[in-house]
Amino acid sequence: MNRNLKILIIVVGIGINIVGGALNSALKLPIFLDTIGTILAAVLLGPWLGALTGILSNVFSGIFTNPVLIPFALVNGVIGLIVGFVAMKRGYEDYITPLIIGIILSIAAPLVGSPIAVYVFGGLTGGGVDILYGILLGSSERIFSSAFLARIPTNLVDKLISAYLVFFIYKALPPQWKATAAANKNKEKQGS
Amino acid sequence: MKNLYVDNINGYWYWPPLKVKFFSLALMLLGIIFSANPLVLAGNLTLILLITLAGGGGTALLSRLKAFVFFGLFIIAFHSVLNPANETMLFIFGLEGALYGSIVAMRLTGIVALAQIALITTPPRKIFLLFSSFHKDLGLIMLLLVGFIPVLQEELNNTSHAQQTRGLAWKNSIDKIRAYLAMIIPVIIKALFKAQGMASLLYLRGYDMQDRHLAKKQLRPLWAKGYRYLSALSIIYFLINVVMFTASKMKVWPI
Repeated sequence: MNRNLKILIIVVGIGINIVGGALNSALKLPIFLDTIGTILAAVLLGPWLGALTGILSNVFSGIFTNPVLIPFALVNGVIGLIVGFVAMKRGYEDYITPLIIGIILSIAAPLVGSPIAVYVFGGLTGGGVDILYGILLGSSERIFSSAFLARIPTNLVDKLISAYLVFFIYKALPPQWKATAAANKNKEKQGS
Repeated sequence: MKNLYVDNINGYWYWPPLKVKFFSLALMLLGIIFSANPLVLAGNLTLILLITLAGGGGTALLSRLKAFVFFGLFIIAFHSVLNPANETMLFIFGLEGALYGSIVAMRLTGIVALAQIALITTPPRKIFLLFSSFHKDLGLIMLLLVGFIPVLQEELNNTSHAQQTRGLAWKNSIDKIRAYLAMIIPVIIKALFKAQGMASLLYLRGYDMQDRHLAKKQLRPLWAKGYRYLSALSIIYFLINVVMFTASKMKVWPI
């Protein structure tokens, strides 16, 4: 996979993040679905370029639509790193890896995102998560725990759908893309 | 693509070189981010708003901050009702929660105001030049994105019409997720095909590593003569905020 194709896969990943988020808002779904491009770039290019895709998609959206999205670039970067390392270790060919990735991300993404949301926004983001956050805060009297637990259900559904979507797309890619993808690196070592 | 730049040559914030401006705004942002004292934050906020109104870009900034005023009031109301530290109550509204909410709202408004100043007073061409000075490929990624995202939106529109012609409709959430997948999957596949074509086009146009430092030469350095006062003022502002923050943490400050 030469250097130009790597640059273009990063561009496509950022574009799909932005367009997927816009379609999600247009259909008024309660989940986010704005990290599909990050997971695709991390599977194809490895953890560090996947993290770069995530960070740049939030920075780009922040420059051109709303600067409030820039602090959450850290969450997207962490998602790229985790998916990249898990895909390099296990490959992305079997049906269990997207499940593992979905479960790990549903805990890691709120873990990184809740401190940012609580510190910068008081825990509120203007979406449907605020209702659950208000219920938990009223009953449990703890700010960070209720912000964290309120984000777990939406993140679980969101990351499982994204991981399986990227799995089916990766399965259907032509062999010359898969041969030099980062998710294939350990398979050669295991095969030989 | 829509951007936040407003053209106004007469403002003070339009004159400094790019690195000086971003460095000083980043320092002011760091000074605000760690404060938790309401009076300090209120003072910071009035100072920032005065600087912007005097320095050009003021009316655009005020019109963009209107939405955040409503969000800030929502944060104050939410925390005055539901914050666990509420003790002195008036009906259902508590005082400590309102104080916490107002601290968060003021800090958020300060952060957003500084980011908006940076984006209103800089044309996008210069922002991409700044990205290029870090690594040559970063600027290319941003520039390709500016042209690529409208193409993706067009594809999404066409796919949406095509799928609806074939009988796609949605009422409840499960149908909405199926509709989302039916609309996004063709867009992803077509985007990957376009990526391969664009990579070949980049190679054909001879994109290689010869002009590595061109962007670095076009941006004036950080200690450019004539604007050192701006960096110095921002460093003093940051240090004052740090001193106040440590004083309040060590209980020297009365609040």
